[in-house]
Amino acid sequence: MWDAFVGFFINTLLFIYQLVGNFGVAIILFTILIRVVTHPLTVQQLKGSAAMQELQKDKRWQEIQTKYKNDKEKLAQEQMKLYQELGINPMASCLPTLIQLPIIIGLYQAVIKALASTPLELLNLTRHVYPSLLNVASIIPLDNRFLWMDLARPDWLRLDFLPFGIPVLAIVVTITTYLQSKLMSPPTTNPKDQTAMMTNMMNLYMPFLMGYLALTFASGLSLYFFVSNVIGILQYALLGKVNWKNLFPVRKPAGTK
Amino acid sequence: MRLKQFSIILLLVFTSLLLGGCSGAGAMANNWPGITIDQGVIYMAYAGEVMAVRVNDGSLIWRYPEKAENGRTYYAAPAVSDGLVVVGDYAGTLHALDAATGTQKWPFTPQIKSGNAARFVGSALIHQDMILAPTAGHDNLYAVSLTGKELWRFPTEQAIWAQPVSDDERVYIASMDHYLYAVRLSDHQQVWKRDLGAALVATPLLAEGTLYLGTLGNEMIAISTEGEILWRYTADGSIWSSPVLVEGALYFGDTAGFIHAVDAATGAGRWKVDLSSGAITGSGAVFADHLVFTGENGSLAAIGLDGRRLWTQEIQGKLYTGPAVVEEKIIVAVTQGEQLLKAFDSNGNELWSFVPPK
Repeated sequence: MWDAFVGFFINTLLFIYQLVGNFGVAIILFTILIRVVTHPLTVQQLKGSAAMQELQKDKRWQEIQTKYKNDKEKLAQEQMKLYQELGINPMASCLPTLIQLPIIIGLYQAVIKALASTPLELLNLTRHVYPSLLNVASIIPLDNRFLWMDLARPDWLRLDFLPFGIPVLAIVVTITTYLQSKLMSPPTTNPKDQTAMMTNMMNLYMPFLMGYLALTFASGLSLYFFVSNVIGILQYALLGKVNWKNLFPVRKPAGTK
Repeated sequence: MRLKQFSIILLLVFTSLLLGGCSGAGAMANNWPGITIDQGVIYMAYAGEVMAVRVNDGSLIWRYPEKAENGRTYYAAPAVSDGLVVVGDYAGTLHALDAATGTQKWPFTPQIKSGNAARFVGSALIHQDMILAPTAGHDNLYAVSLTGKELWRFPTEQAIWAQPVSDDERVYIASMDHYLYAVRLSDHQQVWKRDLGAALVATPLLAEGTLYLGTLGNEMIAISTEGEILWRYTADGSIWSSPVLVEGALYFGDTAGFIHAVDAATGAGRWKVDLSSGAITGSGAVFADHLVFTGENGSLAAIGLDGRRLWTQEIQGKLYTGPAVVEEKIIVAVTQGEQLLKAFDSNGNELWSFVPPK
């Protein structure tokens, strides 16, 4: 069943490629399509997150945390009561993410399989193709070239005057992952808050993780990461959820409390 | 909380290493083994090494390199001639080895402006005093001297996975860009090229002035050495290997699992047989008055020239490489099996099997 799921993604990606004739453009359009289709889930996730954040400020919530901090079972019961009373679904913020996870993994596997670079990989790719939808004879082999990149290999831009290559995609993936994390993090009132500290740590670690992956992955995948980051930022901006202050923190003048 | 933070960091590091290992972009790619037999020795390229194994008893003679190098894999069947074994790796180097000892004589690593490494997927051809090596990534056919110096290169638009063939005057290159090229050896100029409508991954068969080659568009095509298409035959699936020619008929398999017999002069189909063992990606082998084929799902089958199935042997593992016949033995290379090589007699009885020593 998973194979069929990935097969659907592969055929969608290759169908777009058949229309536009360029695999890099196909990856970009495919990523946009997936983000548009999953946009309702993103909206639901944002609403759920916002509701949970508001709940943190509710006095009744804070009282419960203090009153039952040593009785986890009672704490959980009271929390559930409050959720029901306020009409909040605690899973609303994470369920969309869980649903999107197989979509992201499927998309990732589809791009890898489509970039078949050995006979066995190509043989397996042709088996996923729907012959009624795609003309295998005309699209195979895929044109893996996009700008200066071979999408089946890690990206290194080589210039005549430089003795080394520049990992352009790794750099832009790192930057956009950092931007996305920063812009989409909720504003923090208490810098010493444990959750805020964890978020800051993740915001620092994730860009380097994604940059490292972009260095080792085929550039087609890195292109997907980059486009996905940019679209994510645009989505949040359209929904008015981007926190520009996180990017440019305002310093209080000296002597001000 | 510090333990929780540390655990999360550890999980993220592990995830990044795992994803990095699953990237699919490195040189450790998947493919099936390539084998060549010469003077009683099987030369096999698979995964991280090249091995020489005796035909008579399946014992190992040598392996190269002595220690597998990280990121270097070998899939192209070695080319062997006059004591020289030439094999390309997926990381971009063509190795020339001593056939008797497996020691390296020289490496050749082609360089191009983009800095990308070539990938040797198709086998080289040792022809007279030069080596003709097809590449992917660079999409060139390289002509290299027997001492490892580049002589010239001929570019195509896409990868070349098929071994080139030559009639002493020209070399014929089947490329994944859909074209069959004829290039004059004396001055490496193109004589003609013909668009065959689909990617070409199979090595052409050259016989009596005619080239026969299969395409990923499900066709077997006969084309004269002057570039004139003589006939086209439509199979049930794509064709990944050379046909064999016996008494005026061509025999080949397709990925739909059928073995076809086609009249070589007219392209008319004579019969077809469903092997029922998945895709057939290797060439058949001629054994006395019959043929042997391998099917992906582990079948080694003997088929008469009239299409009758004579016997079938089931082998554990995947069979993508075609069988080879030598000294009354059928040699089979296995992918994803416990044994890497197996030998059978003319009735399908197993003679020996080879497992590489650790």
